[in-house]
Amino acid sequence: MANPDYETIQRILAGEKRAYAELIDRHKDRAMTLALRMLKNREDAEEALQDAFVRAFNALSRFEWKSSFFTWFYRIVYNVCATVLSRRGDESFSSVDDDEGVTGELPSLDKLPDTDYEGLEFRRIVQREIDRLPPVYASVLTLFLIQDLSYDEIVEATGLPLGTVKVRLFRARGMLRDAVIGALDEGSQQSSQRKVALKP
Amino acid sequence: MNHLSRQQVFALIDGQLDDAEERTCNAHLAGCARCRNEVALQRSLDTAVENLPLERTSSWFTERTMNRILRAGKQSLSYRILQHVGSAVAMVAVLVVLGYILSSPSELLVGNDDSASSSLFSSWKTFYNNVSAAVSQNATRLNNVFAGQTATPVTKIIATTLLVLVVLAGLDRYVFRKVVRMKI
Repeated sequence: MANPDYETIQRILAGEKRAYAELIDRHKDRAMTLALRMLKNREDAEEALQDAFVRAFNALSRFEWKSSFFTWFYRIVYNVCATVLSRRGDESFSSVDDDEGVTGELPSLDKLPDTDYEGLEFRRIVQREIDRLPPVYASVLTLFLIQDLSYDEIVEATGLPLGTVKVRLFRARGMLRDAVIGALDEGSQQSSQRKVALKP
Repeated sequence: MNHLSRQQVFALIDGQLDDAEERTCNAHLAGCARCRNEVALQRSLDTAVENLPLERTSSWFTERTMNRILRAGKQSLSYRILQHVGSAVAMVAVLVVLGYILSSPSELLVGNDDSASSSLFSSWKTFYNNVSAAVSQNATRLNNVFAGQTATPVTKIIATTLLVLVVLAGLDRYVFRKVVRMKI
């Protein structure tokens, strides 16, 4: 199957600059999701994304198709967002300790009542908790689950070593899991208290 | 077998276990409700994250980005032209100011006070005389440009300052970029 990005890029390089709008439309929402997960601010994310698209356009003639366009482009988005974070003085992004693992033990789920893992409430909690994840973990988790990138593609997109990618992904999922379970647990306790309070 | 660890749960879901490890984990899951629940939770979490709605950019994002790209292309042409014009103006300005100053340095640089002579000053005068001789032809022409006008030292200093500013503006890419952006 023909690669639509390849065809579009050939047209752009042939001088049809306006064809770049097609690339933007094709990738902007996925890239925006990554930028927003990292920067946690819609305005900053959109500005960073715009910078990334401009940089990608200027570097398009040097793109060698060693990876897919979107992997290459995500790397630009990731780097632009990382720069914004460092300008903000957010040291958590650069000084994360990747050696510090999440414990292998899983807290028991016994306390939780039967939870509808596909319900609206569950999804709402997941959305809220992923928004709260530190950028360093949210970025890798987004690339893996939302952008559906493989480990190798994440390595390509972030410039991080494979071992670091695996550790961060492991921690991100662990943190998200614990946060969601915590929220569900808290919700079920509040629900029980309300029931007790309503009893005559 | 103990309960599955986090690593095992993630590896199982991601298909990262080898055949033997996968068989062992599945055998454990068959008899352990707690681990089955954990795997189900993790799968649901992954699915929920995968299915989260994508974040939308503002409706004018593409248009605005394209405008920026296309305008940058146009700007770069005007920027290059401005740079060349700026450099040319700066070079001419340097030549004019040098010729002008060297044609009558006694007023502008040291006044008419010969008593200020020292060995350093003598060296400077020698240097000046050499340079002056070299540019005398141009200096004469430049003096002709200002023929009939009497420039006071203050006027010359102001003119020199202005020309230096032009030189800086012409040579400093940053200043020029700012100028272009401000559309002055």
